[in-house]
Amino acid sequence: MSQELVDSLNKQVEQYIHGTAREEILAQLEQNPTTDTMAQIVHDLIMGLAETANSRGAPVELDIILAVATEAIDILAEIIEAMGAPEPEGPDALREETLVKIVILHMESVQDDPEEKAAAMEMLQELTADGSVDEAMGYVQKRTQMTAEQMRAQGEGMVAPKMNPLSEGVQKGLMQ
Amino acid sequence: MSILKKGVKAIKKVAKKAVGFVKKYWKQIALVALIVFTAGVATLGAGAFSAAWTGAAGFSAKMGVVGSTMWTGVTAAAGSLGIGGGASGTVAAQAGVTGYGLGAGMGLGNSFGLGVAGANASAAATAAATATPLAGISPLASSVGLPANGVGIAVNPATGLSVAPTTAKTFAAANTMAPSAAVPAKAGFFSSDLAKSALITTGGNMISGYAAGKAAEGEDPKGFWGVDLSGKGQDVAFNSGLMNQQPAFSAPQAPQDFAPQAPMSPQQQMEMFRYQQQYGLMNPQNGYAAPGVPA
Repeated sequence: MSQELVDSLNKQVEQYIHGTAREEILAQLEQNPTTDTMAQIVHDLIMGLAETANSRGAPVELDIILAVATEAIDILAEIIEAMGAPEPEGPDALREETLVKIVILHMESVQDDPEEKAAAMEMLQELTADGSVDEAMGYVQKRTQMTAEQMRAQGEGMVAPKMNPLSEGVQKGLMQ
Repeated sequence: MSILKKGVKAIKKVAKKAVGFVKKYWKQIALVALIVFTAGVATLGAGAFSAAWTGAAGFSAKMGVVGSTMWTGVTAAAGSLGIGGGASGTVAAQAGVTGYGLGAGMGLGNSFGLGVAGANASAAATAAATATPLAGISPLASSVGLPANGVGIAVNPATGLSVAPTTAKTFAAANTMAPSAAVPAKAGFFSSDLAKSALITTGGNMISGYAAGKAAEGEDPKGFWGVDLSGKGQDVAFNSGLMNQQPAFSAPQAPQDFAPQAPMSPQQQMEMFRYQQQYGLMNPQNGYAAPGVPA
């Protein structure tokens, strides 16, 4: 049942982005093709979905919300890529940054609530106990290392000998 | 109020299956997002996290902010008696916190001050107990360049966490956490022994290759003054006066001990003569004679 719900919601999200809201979304992305814009679009989308579900008396759980959010990010990232917008850190980083940005937007809506803080403390203890924190920390470490290696590779590339202008011209001529 | 506006209280109900329907390649980052969210709500707050995130330059630095936020939240939750309280360190250690240290654990040299590395649990807990302001965020200030008037996170043993404007300098000075020893800092490529040996080898090959190339062309590479080891070029050097030029350096001065002495007294001359004769240094038969003594 839940999987069917996820599939159904994802389809609605796709239709919304490529159909109903297409012009508006494209305009926003063309004006500012950044993770901030993507995050704001997806955050508004999932807030709308959640409120609709709540108003019908069937609140959507978090894992389903996350599934919809990540699907929406994928779709927007594909649009940005098709637009040829620069992705200095690569397509994965674009998606990951967008998700964290959505977290920040959501965090702003619940901050300074003592009950939320207490609940967060309790939940962090649970996540630590079941190994989720270890897994997440490992992932963060891996991603940071991976990027450092990529940057080092770029640094090595910078000291590579420059191509002779003549041979570069010949090569361009061959390709044309 | 929507499920999202309920925030953590809503998440708690589904914590065990929080990323159940997320696609496989999204699962880990979704889990990270979930933990960052709860850690942010529990400790730093959206403002501090957002400021650190925005100030972080590049993806690695941003992930460093994520890691530090997670670490801060987990440490706070483990020592839920209150960060900064003397007992919290012990509580954190007893609660079995794996311990996450921040420091120059990864990245290029020390330029990436951020990162997450496994750390000694008790050390992390102790740091959490004693750090004021909170140490977890401190490396960010100096490493990723938070604005000069950034956001400071202070820990008061009595009142708990508070967020207040401060300066990057204060952050850096307040960093009481030592870099984690679990993951040693990686030196930058050009300072590594590997790079040095590669550069030296490359340099040596370049010189050898140049000499070999010139030799193949029938031309010896010229040395100092244009004279090669086989003597070629001497005539040019002589004729042009190159070899008559004075060297740029000056000859070393004789030490004071070797400077000419005052004339010896007759008694000193006799002593020296006797000494020289005794050890065969001078032979009168060869024309040497003691002062005043006919040879």
